[in-house]
Amino acid sequence: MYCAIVIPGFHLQASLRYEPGLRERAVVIVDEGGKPPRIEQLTRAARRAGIRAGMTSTQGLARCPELLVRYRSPEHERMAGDALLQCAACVSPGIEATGEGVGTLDLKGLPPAAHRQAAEGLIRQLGRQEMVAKAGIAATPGLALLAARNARPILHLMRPADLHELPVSALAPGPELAGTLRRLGIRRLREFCDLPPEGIAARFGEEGVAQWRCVMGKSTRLLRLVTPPETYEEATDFENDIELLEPLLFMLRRFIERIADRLAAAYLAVAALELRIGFAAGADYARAFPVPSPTRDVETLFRMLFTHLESFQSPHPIRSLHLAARPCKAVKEQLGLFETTLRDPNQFHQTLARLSALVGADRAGVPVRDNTFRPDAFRLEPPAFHAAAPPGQARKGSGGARGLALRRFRPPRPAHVFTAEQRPVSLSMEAFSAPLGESSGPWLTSGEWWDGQAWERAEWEVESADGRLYRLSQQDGRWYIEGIYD
Amino acid sequence: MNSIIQLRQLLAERFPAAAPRHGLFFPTGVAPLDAVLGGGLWKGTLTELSTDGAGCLTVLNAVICACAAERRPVAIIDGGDGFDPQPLDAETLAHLLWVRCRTLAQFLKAADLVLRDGNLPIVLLDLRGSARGELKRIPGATWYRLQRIVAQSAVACLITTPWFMVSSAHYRVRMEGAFRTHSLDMPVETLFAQMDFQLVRRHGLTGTAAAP
Repeated sequence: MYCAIVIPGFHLQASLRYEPGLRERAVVIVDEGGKPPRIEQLTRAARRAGIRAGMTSTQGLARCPELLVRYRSPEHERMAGDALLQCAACVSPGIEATGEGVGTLDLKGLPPAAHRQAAEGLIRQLGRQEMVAKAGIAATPGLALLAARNARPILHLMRPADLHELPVSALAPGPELAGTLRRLGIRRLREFCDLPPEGIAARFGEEGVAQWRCVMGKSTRLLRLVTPPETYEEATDFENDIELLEPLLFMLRRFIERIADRLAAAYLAVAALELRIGFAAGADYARAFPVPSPTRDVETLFRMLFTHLESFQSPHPIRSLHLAARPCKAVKEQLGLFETTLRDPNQFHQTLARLSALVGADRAGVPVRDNTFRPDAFRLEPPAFHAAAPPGQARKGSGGARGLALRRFRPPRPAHVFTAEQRPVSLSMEAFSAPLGESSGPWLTSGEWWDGQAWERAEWEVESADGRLYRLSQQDGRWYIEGIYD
Repeated sequence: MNSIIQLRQLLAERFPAAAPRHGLFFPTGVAPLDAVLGGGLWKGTLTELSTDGAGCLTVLNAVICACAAERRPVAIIDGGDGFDPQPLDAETLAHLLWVRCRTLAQFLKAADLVLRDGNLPIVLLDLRGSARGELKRIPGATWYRLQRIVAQSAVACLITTPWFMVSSAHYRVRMEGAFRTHSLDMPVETLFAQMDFQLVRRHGLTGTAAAP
């Protein structure tokens, strides 16, 4: 058995996916390629206003001044076609991209009782993708497509005769065949099927034979199987340039909901999001958002984008938006009783992004010491706590700490140090002066003389009269307080 | 998670003898401090550690080492940007989130973010490097807000201050110790043994969480 899925008015639906509020209004799709451009597809409201396919947009506007004219968007149609295939792939691995907005599924392997249920599920899922679809189920791909075109919204053909009450226009015949059928007075498929097979070729030609064999269920073919795209994308060009964050977030949330819905049906999660914003001035802004713990939770993914965009400043109005999700297998993790890893890595990732926005990206993270003996040489790297060693592997040792810790002054504070017998005996700086007691040093260090960034210093550990311990350094003849021991 | 903690605290309050003590606190790695706190830093509490002298940052380093030994992530919000990672080894540092604040306003916002996040079981707030004049201007309500955040989570928060200022702290510990230059070469365990930790407040807690 085969199931054909048809999205009627595909070009119109592909555009209205991004403007669902216009479904009830008079909207037409115009093909820019025509000379003159003519209305190709239209909404019910436009049809009620007296507009018909084939008119020019000027004729349409004359009949309905409120008419909204949209041009075909290959990008929107590609996204809608991809969404159709990705949804269909969740029902059957054997799918064919039969045409624009038309797909055919091989239902082999599904029990007959589940055929209708699968079609209903697929139509519901396409509905969540803002597309209205119809489905036909039949023994051959041709019959399934014929059934889908005439379904409301599902037509399950148990035998070809179930179609016989339909008008012959349901075959979508070519002009020549349609004219012949009209001249012969054949109005119903029953009358077409009742014709003796011997005369079909002589009267209706090659197309007639193919249609007759299709309606009789006598022709079948192999599906040209396709693989749905691996990247889940949504994109749109805005009719009016966007200058505020709210409409951008509204559209992004809708994108994420659609992508998450398709991923959920395929049992996948988002490993990374890629956002691309097109500006009216022509330039693009692109950014990738790796998801620390792959998920398809809409709130988590949206928060990830929101956290970034709330501090994002656009140099120009925004004209287009593109969001792509790189999928991966959803990982289910069983937390242990003595779990010590992060409970919600994505939440932590958000917090880290907020911290970076607050204090600066180079001032929040995991400290990593540089491979040098230069004092206070380190860098901060993004933490990877969620990828840390599994729980239950406690490590022995105190981390190597010894003695009192130094509380550094960054940068070191210049000071005046008086020495006697080459040892510091008094310390003074702004609003502070103290005699020094015990001292330890000098500790001579130097390095990087080989690459032109040579440094050299002498360090002292000194005790002030009030009992505080300081670290002093002498560089190029100048004294600095490096910090206080705490 | 919160309801489980509340249930445990309720059971501990009703049946103090039967209440399990393990799992409600994190040992600090400083034996005398653990002794006065009744095991360590209690989950869902604010602990304030203050001294006129030295030793607070050394205690924080010990807490970081203890967390790393258990492979438990820990955050330090550094109010004065004075933390020095040099003495700690790379494996210990790998478990540490260090937030270097420039101003006190940044410190308070960062503390709020990390505590609300709730992913890190131990959060260390270091205010001893901040300017004293700025510290005096922190509104008292700030500490109550942080205390409410901590109380609703499983996070243990240790705040080091130059003087007692955290009005909502569940535990207040005064630390005293005198050090000389030769102390800089001593093992930290010896230094901690020389320090005097005094519990000066045990506030608003009952049952297991309050009983050292």
